[in-house]
Amino acid sequence: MKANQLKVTLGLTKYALRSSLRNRGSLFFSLIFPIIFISIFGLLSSGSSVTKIGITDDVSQSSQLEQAVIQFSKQKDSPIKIITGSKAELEGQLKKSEISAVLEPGTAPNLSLITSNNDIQGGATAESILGGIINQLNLRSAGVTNPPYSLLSHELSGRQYHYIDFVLPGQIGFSLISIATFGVAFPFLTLRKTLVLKRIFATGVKPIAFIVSQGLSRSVQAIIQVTVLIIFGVYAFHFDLANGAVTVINMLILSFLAVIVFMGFGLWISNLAKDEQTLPIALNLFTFPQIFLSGVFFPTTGMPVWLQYVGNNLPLGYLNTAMRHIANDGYSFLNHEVWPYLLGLLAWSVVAYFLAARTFKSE
Amino acid sequence: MSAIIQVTNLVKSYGDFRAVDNISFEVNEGEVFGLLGPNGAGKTTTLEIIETLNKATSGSVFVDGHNVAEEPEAVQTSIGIQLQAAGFYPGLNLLELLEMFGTMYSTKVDAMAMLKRFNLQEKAKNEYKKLSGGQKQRFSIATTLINHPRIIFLDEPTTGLDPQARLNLWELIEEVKKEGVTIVMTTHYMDEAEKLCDRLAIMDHGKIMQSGTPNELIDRLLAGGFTPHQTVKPATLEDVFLDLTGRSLRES
Repeated sequence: MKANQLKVTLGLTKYALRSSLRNRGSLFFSLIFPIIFISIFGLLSSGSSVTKIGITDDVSQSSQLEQAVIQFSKQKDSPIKIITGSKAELEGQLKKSEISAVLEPGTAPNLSLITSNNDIQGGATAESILGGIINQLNLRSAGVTNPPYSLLSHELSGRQYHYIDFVLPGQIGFSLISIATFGVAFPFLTLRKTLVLKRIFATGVKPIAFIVSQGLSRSVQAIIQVTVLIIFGVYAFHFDLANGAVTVINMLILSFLAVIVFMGFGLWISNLAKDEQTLPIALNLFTFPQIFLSGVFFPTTGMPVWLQYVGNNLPLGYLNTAMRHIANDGYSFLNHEVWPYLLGLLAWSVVAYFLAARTFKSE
Repeated sequence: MSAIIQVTNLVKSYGDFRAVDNISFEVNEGEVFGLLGPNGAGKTTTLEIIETLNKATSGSVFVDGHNVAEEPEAVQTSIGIQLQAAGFYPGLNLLELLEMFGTMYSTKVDAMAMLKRFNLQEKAKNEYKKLSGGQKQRFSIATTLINHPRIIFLDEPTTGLDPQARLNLWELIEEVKKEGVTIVMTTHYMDEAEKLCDRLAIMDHGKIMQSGTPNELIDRLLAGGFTPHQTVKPATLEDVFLDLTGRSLRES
C-alpha cells in the first residue's frame, strides 16, 4: 500500500508539473517581477557614489582652500564633484538633497560648510573629505613635510561585494515565497471550489499524497525559475557566485526546501480564506511584512534593533540569511554557520503544516 | 436480484438539524435507482455518505458487501462518482485527465478508447473547460468508469443541458446499464426519472416519502383519488421542441 501511494504521488506530481509548466502566463509573471526588480536595483547601484559639493560664486577664486578642493575634485575617480552657482541656487539644491553640502565664504580665510538634515550621510562625507584637505593645507602651511602620524587605509582584498550580490538572493527569496504562497493558495482554493479535491480523494488517494505531489511540482518549478534568475544575474549584472557551480547547486537545494516550507503557509492561508476576494488580502498580510522586514530589497541593519530581530526571525528572514551565506560567503549545507537558519525554517514549517492540517478541508 | 447497496436507519445530523433522518432503502444490482426530491431534501448528503465522502451520524451503509464506515477503501474501488457541477484538474487535456485518474486508481487506462466510446475523440487534446455542457457531462460519466466500478453515482447529470444533449446522455446511461453497471442517480426532471429509473425513492426533509417503480408510485397516487389539474394531451411541449429542432446532438 505504501509503495503504491508513492507511485501515485509521483504520478500526480507529473501531471501537476505538466499543468503548471503549461500555464505560460503565470510562469512569465512569476519570473518577470524578480527580473524587473533585479534590473532596476542593478542599474541603480551601478552609478558610482560621488558626493556633490556646491561652491558659491562669491567664494574668492584665489582662496587657497577652494583651489585645493577643486584640484582634489579633478583627480581621477575623485569621490567629490563640484557644482558652482549662486548661494540661493545651491542652498535650494541642498534642501532638495540634490547636493550634499555648500561651501560659502566665512570670516576670511575660513570658509563655512552648510549641510542639510535631509542628507546626513552625504553631509558627513563632504565634511570629512574637506576636513582632510584642510588638514593637509594646515600641515603644509605649518611647514610639516613629514607628519609623525598618518592613517593609511586599504580596501579589503578579495571578492568585491556589489549591490547585485545582496539583491539577487533577496529576489530569489521573494520569488520562492510567491510561488509557494500565491502559487499554491489560489489553485487550492479553485480545486476546492470546483470539487476537484473531493473527487480526487474519492478515488482513495490520501490527502498527504496529493499535497506532496503539489509541493514537489512547485519545487521543481522553483528550481527552474531560480536557475533563470541566477543566469540573468550572472550575465546581465555580474552576480558573483562565491564557489561557482557548487554555490549554484546549494542555492537550488535551498530553494527546493524553501518552497516546501513556505507551501505550508500557502495551504493554511488557502484554508482560511473564504473566497477569491479575501485570499489575496490574507496572502499579502503574510508576505508583505516579510518582503520589507527580511532583507529582500535592502539590508535590515538600518532598522531599529527590535525590528531587525523580528525581521531576521521571520521565515523569509531565515531563508534570505541562509541564501546569502551560500551565495555570498560560499558556504554549503555542510557549514554549521548555515544550520541555525535551516533549523529556523524547519521550525516555521512545523508550525505552518500543523496549522494547515488543523484547518484542512476538501471542499 | 440481490441488493448491492443496503442503507439501514441512516441519520446525518449537523447540530440540531437532521439532513438525513433515519432512512432505509436498497439498490438492486444492475438497476438504475433514482433519488428524487427538492433542493435541500438530503439527496446529496445521502449519496456522499454512500460514496465514503461524508460520515454518517448513525445507521449503517453496505456497498458491494463492504461497510462504508469500516472499509472505505474497499468501497472506493467498486464505485465511480460524478459530483454535481464538479470540475477537473486545470491545465490538462481530456486524455491526460483520464490517465491521471488511472494513476489515482492505480489502473491502466486506454484513454483514447474511452473517449471514443463517449464520442469525445475529437476533443482529446482539449481542456475540460472548453467543452460544451453535454460534452462535459459525457466526459464526467467517462471518468466514473475508469476503475471498472460495479456501481456509479450520477448527481444531476442532465441539469442545464439542451433537450438534444439530454436525450444523448439518456442513451449513454442506458448503454452503461446494459453492461451490468448499477447506477444511482439524482434528478429534478420527472420525465427523466420515469424514462431511466427502474426504481426510485422520493425524499423530502431528510426522509424518504415513498419508494418503488415509477409505475407503482403513479398508481398509488391515482388509487388515493388524485385528479389531474388538466387532461393530458397525447404529446408534450418537449415533443414539439424535438419535432421542430430534430433529435440530433448539437455541438460545436
